[in-house]
Amino acid sequence: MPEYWDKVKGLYINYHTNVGLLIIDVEVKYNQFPTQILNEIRSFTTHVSRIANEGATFSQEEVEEQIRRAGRHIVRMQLDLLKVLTIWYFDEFNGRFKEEYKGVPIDDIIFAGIRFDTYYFQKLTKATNLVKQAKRIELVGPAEVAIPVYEKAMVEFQELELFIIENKPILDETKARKQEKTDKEIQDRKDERKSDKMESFIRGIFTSLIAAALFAAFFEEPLFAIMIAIMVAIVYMVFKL
Amino acid sequence: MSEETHTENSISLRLRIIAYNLGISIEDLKNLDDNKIEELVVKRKGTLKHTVNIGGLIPRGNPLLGLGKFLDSEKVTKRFNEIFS
Repeated sequence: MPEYWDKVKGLYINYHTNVGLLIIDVEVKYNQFPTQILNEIRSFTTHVSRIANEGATFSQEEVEEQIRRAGRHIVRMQLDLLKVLTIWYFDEFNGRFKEEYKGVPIDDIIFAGIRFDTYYFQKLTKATNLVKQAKRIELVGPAEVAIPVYEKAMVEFQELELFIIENKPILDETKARKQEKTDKEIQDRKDERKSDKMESFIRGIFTSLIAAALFAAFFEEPLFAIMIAIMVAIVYMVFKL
Repeated sequence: MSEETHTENSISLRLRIIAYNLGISIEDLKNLDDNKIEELVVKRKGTLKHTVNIGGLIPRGNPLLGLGKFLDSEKVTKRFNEIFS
């Protein structure tokens, strides 16, 4: 077996260890297949198959060139997939998670001696800054130098994801308690409104009766009418009608 | 921590998270075929039943591709630049 196959083997090991797992991670998170990878896989396979097919007639430089180009596609796949995952993590923690726990008092919950919000924002900020740093490094090149920095960002994101997975029962319990409290407040307000309506109804009847009595009394006994009016005023003040 | 250790750490965390999300062990995750894993991905979202009538292609092929569930790479690039600029 020509010795350049060891280098090709190295590329496949990289695919197996990194790319394969990244593809699965993207599929699990998006429930979609990252199609840009298909083209990279095709190009990678083209270079390797050229070596297999024509390697014997290639010069050392030609073989090296094919291996180098195949390797670039593996790097491209890693970078593309890592970027797709960083987007998911950012949108998850900066958007969807916040939306799911909106108004739920989880910030000051202490998990293993750490306040939730402290851990959450530290991880999110650190990961975001690392991605920005990786992006800058990638632009300057060579692109593969950016991979370990993207992976550092991934560690921060993934630790945060595991932290949330492990503490989800507590978060959900807090959310349920908050929901229960909100439901109770809504019910109390409804009950209050119901009792207000009843009170207005009684007040209406009472006022109408008084008005009728005053009207009748005024024409018969003006003094008696004034006395009724004073009594009604007292009743209003005492019972705060 | 060296860069290699970071990458190893990232891979190990990734394995744990994927296995948790798919409800399988890390060992199973390492040994299952790609298509089997994709079946699990699709089943998790409860959409596998939609794949049955595509001419027998899905059971042998890639369930997500069979369902036409492609990640839009243009959108991805745009979103990436929006967030991390």
